[in-house]
Amino acid sequence: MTLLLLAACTPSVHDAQQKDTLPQIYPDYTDITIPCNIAPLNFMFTYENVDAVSLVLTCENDSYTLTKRGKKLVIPIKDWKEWTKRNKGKSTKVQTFARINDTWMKYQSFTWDIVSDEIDAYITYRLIEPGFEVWNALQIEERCIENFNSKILADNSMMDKRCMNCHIHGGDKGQFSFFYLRGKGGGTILNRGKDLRKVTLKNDQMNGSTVYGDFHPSGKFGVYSTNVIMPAFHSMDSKRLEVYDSNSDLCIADFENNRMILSPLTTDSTKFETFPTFSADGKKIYFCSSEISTPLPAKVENLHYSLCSIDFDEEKGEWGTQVDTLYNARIHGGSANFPKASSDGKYILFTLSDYGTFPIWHKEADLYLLNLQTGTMKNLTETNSNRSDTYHSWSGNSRWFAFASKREDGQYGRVYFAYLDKEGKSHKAFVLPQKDPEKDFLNLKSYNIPDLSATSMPYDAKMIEKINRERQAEIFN
Amino acid sequence: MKKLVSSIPSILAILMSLACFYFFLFYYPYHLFYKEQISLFLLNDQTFFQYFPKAGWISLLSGDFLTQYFYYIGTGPAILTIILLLLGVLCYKCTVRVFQRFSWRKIIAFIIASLVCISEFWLLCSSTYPLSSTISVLGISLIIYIIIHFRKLNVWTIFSGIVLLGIGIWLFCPLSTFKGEKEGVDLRLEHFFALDTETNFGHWKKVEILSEEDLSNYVNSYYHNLSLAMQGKLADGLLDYYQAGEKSLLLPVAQTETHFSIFAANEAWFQMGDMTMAEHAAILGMIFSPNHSGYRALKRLAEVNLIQGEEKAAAKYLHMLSETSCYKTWAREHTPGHQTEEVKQFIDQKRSLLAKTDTLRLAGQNRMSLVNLLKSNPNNQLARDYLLCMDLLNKNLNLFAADYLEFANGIFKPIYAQALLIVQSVQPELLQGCKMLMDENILKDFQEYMNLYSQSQGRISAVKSKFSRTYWYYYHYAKTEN
Repeated sequence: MTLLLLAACTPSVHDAQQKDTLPQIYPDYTDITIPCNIAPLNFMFTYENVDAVSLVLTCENDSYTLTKRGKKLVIPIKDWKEWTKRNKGKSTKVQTFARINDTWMKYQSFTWDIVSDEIDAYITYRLIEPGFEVWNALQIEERCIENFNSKILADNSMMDKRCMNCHIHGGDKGQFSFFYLRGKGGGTILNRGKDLRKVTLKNDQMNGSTVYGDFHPSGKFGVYSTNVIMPAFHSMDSKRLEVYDSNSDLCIADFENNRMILSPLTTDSTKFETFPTFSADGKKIYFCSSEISTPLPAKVENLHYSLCSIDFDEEKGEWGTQVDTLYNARIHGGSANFPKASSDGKYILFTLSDYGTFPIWHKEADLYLLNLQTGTMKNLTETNSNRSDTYHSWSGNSRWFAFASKREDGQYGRVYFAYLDKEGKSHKAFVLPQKDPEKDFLNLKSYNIPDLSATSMPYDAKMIEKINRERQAEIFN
Repeated sequence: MKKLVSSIPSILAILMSLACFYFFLFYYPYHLFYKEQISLFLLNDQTFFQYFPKAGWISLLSGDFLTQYFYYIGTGPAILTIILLLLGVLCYKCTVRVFQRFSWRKIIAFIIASLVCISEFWLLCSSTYPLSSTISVLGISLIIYIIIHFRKLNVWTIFSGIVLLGIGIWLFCPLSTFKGEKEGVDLRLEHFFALDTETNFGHWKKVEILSEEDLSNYVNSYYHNLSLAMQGKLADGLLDYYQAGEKSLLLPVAQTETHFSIFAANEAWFQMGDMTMAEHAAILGMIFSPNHSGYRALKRLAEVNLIQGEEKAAAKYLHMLSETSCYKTWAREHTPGHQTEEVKQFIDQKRSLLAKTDTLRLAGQNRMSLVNLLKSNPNNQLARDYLLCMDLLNKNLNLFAADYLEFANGIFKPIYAQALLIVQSVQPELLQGCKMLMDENILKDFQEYMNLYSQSQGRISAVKSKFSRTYWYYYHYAKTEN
């Protein structure tokens, strides 16, 4: 009887009108390449008066049908996992139907190419309102990409509303990580697989606090920029905010000996140096650099950052003696930001915008790929959008990367993933799936600085609160 | 007679309820509207699941659900009155039961019930004390009422009582209960909420009248100035009222300010056409508000983005508002493709004020925004009035002279003429090319003021009685906080 009642309640597709357009769905999951370990790609129709929806997945002789009341298609995780396991390495045809005003519509089908290259299972990001660099309620969250589980790694409501930023992973499995707790009594929370440490990455020769940074592959060192940040407001074109540095240098932190290592080449008072990152083998540091030759903020459009590199000797803990330029902004134009080296040593992924050092409000900011073996550079047009695409992070196998994009509404940053195939071709990006596809539509927070990791972090907000409360920050010299 | 005596508690309860309804309806309506404005309740399954796992979810859910209806005049007072009345009845019945062996039990019960209701009434008068907290008290009272009506005391009833209490805590006791502000009745705050609400509805004359009360407060002055400016008489009435320098015109958006004044700052920028600053203030006001959201903030953010042509960003806010009870019509009327003629005209009018060239300004550089707005649109009267009045309040007559020449040459306002006379007497070269319209009375007054001022060697009492509302007096004696 119950089964009969249930069957009577479940709508069934019949007499569907064929439409020659792709369905209007949120998020846009049409014609994308996805990893076999991704969580279900739940989505919803954005038409008015939708009261039932249906999905048919087909791949060779395999098929799966799901029909639901309402406008949302939420795929049971067990069904999804079985589907992706059975059909990885193949292309799935996705046929969708929506019942609008009692008439079923059949839309143009699209594909999900399920590749066997997995993506790192975890991603962390900071949840913050797009409030022009001002915060109140902040959380750093870790989300499992394979399902919808998440945990809060740090919550500023437990720590006097202080600012927290830049949760960055390192190591081959993302087993190292750090982030900042700003303000009085704060410090850098350092996780190197043993006890968590709270450290102050600053000495007397440095002219600011560390901001952007990265781990050496060994986990013994970190490289950082020190930035004195100034926010200014644009008056038109929805550019909103421009953030520039009034001062920025680079430094290396030696975590074993609690010392900061500086070099005159990267603390040059005639240049801004920022966004440092280690190469895959740890023998080079890539960073961005600009001449200080323009009055700020008035002429910020003349501020162009080049992509540079300098050697690093892990044995001696020393900077190299020569700076090389990989992308010369004076010659090629634009401004390079946020380089990240792939772990296979082949590529550097970076953001290129028209000018400046804060691309998140620059509509033209796009991801570019520099092939370190051939020296060629290309715009990842298949992945980029007409809004800011930046703050990216590589998956450990160098086949996937995550990044923050404002492509949905121009204001709220969301986490996107894109596939880079063996030929170095990037694919259309897709947004982090949610259990309820409407979640991000109703969310007033941006996902800030997404960072991938193969492993979950061994701490949570309670541990961080305790460390913050009980420990003095270790001093670095 | 005995019947009459026994019905006294009921009569008193009805009278107190009427007084409560009357108070919230006529003396304290803006607090309720403010509480509604800083809340956001979406009618969808996601909202339900956000509440469900939390302790006290029934209280939180029902409190927030009912708060949305504070939007309508009379609904808030009615909801509060009914809830307080129910609370009073439950408290009364519980106390009667507990003191059932005492002959004075009804009087004791009435006193206790009244005290509980008066305390909750007092707390509900606080600006951010949530309705869910009162519902928590009501819910727990209900559980206690059920428990004390168990007939026998045995293992079974004790067990049932403990289970019921546990369920009661789960349903009605949120961890955040009683966390809101508890300032009680605050008529000063009610005054500011009144200014804010009437501003929201564009009742500028009402804002002007309300803000005439001299509170020597720059937020009050801000609303007063804005109401004058919106009626085209900012320069005429500027010195009739307390001014605290530039921040009386454009509220600072800074950590030192409250979320209320930060949000309020958006209004002047919005009216003048600087959507970046309007959005900046609105979004920061929202971030720092108790719930980090709110209907009012979403409406303003939707408007800002529609005016800037950012339809996708606006769609996000409109979508959220479309899932509310009270704003779904507003959201539909503002959604591209469904906009009414009135909405279209409003958007077009605001778009005509937008800056046409890009500048980059730091947070405190209000002047740069105003100049840019005026250069883009010299007919932006609001921006012109604000710029010139800002120069005057900052006592920067060099800038005033330059701005007058560039943006207002030939426009006559007594306060401008008074300021120009000072410039003419000190640095006449600044007024080269100035079409200085002058009133004979102002010239005479200036002469008289200067005579009195020099004869009395700058003694304030010599000029105060006649000239306290002139720019000369402000220039010599006003202390600005900037």
